[in-house]
Amino acid sequence: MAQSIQDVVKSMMAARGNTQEITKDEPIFTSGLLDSLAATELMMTLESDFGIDLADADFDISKLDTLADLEGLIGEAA
Amino acid sequence: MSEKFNIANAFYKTATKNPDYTALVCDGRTFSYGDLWRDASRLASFIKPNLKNKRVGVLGSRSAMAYIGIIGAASAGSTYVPLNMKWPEERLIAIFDQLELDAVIVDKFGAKLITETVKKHAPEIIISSDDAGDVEGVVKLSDLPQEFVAEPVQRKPEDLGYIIFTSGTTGMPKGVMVSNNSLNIYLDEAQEWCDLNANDRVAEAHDLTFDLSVHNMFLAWRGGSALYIMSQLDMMAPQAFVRKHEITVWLSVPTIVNNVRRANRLGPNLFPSLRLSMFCGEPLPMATIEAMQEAAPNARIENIYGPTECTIVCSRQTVTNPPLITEQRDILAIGQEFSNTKMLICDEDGNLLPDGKMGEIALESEKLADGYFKAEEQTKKAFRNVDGRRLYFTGDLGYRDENGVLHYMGRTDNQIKMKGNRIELEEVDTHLRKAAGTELAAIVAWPILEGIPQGLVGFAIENGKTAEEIQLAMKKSLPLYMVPSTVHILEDMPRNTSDKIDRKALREQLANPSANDTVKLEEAS
Repeated sequence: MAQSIQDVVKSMMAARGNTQEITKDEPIFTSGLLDSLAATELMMTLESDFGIDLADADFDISKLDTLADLEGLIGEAA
Repeated sequence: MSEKFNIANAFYKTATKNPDYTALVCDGRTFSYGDLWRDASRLASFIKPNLKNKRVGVLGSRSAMAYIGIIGAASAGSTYVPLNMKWPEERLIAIFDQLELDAVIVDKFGAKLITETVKKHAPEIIISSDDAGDVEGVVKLSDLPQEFVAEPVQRKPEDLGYIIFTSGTTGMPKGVMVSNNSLNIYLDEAQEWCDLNANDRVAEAHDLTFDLSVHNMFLAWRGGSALYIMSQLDMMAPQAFVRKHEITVWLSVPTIVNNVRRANRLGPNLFPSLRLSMFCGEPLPMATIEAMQEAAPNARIENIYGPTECTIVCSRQTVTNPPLITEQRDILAIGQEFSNTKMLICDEDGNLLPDGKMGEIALESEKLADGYFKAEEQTKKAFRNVDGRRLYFTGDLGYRDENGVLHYMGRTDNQIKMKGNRIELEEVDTHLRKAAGTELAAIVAWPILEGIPQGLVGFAIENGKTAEEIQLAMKKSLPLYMVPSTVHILEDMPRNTSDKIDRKALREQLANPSANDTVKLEEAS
């Protein structure tokens, strides 16, 4: 895959004028760093580029909130 | 009504009678009524001697601290004022200057907004949650003296319960001032048809700056129900949230459910726990109702209507079989007004129009807001005296049918005149939605030259149809002047802070095509 999830998040933040560094455990969405529109975008990217299936009605969305969470999710699917 | 009143009385009563009942579930933590009252009464005791203007800000949302702040501020004898976390620093400063707050309560995300510059304009007393970072001059909840108010400080009915800011069409947001009495009148009415009790689990989808949050929390507290706060992330998967917590009462703008529907995340009997599902803030399309009926077979569906200026909601239409629809728009009717409110249809000069005629919806009500905070001109413009009656002009278009049922037809701002033709953008929306096969679609007037609209541009979420196909389908049902000259197919529909489709953002995309970050898949003209 071309881009790491970290790059994806970084570029989404940069697109919104935010270039600050974030730690692996820092909440991205619940903290308001990225908005709900970005969360939708990220979910689509996870499905299309990383092959993650988010269609389960009971999928735990809190698994998307930090870089560590996201890497864990991608790791599980790999 | 008694002369003594405090909007926190109902909470206090439940906290005293049933302290172990769950009041709040937030961030994976559960708080009983007793838990919250302990913190709120401690906060109130600290704030009480410092009240001068009797206004306390809450810079926080979707956190326990924000709710403790509201109960604490009210119990101290103060008006609570939710401050929007999305305001840029400059606006926050302007609002602080305008409000002259006695104190501000911040949660961990609110604390981050208290920069050195902001602090110069913020009240001296700033109290943060314990999980907030250290900010100089900000005192943490657990560092407050171990002193508590025994009960909420009683106030007068005409004192303000809260001030909620609504976005002004130009410039600064306007602070709508709602009295204790108005809120009480509303809650008495709403309690009858919502009937919340200790078995209810109420989902909170809104920020505290949106007055649907007032409906949710105060009704929940009256009934001894539990309020389940959705995080920003939960908002992306509301279906998982409702299932996980077996939510019984839902309230949101239709767009949130439409997003779930669009992602194919709705299915038969997905929400068996729901008993009451309310929609507000946007027209409720028939397609949304049908999807919801299938997903939540045990739920009664209510379409509720009302502006913040008339204390949350003033009319209601239950989904019946068959549903009472506004045919021209393929949306549910907004029903009949509550007994405490009269909904009038007026022409441009404020004259009453007969049934069947479309005009602006004006409201006469015991629970009309007092006006906009420190904005006399804007107050005079919206709250007008007509033949000795105080009316609020909503800016909404509607008519009353022969059965007394009210129908919403759009915003007066969305009624435009183009090349001599009067066009209601919502009407064009209806056709665009059909043609594009999605509820996530909107029309904007564009470009606008010297205040005069020159054309129409459509936006729709990607749904397998090309822009040309959409335009072609629209041409079959609309006169040519109502068919958008361009249709942009988007991956995401921008939404405002209330999660409604954001027409302003769409216009901005057209004004600055390079600045938008929404991916355009395709366009045609």
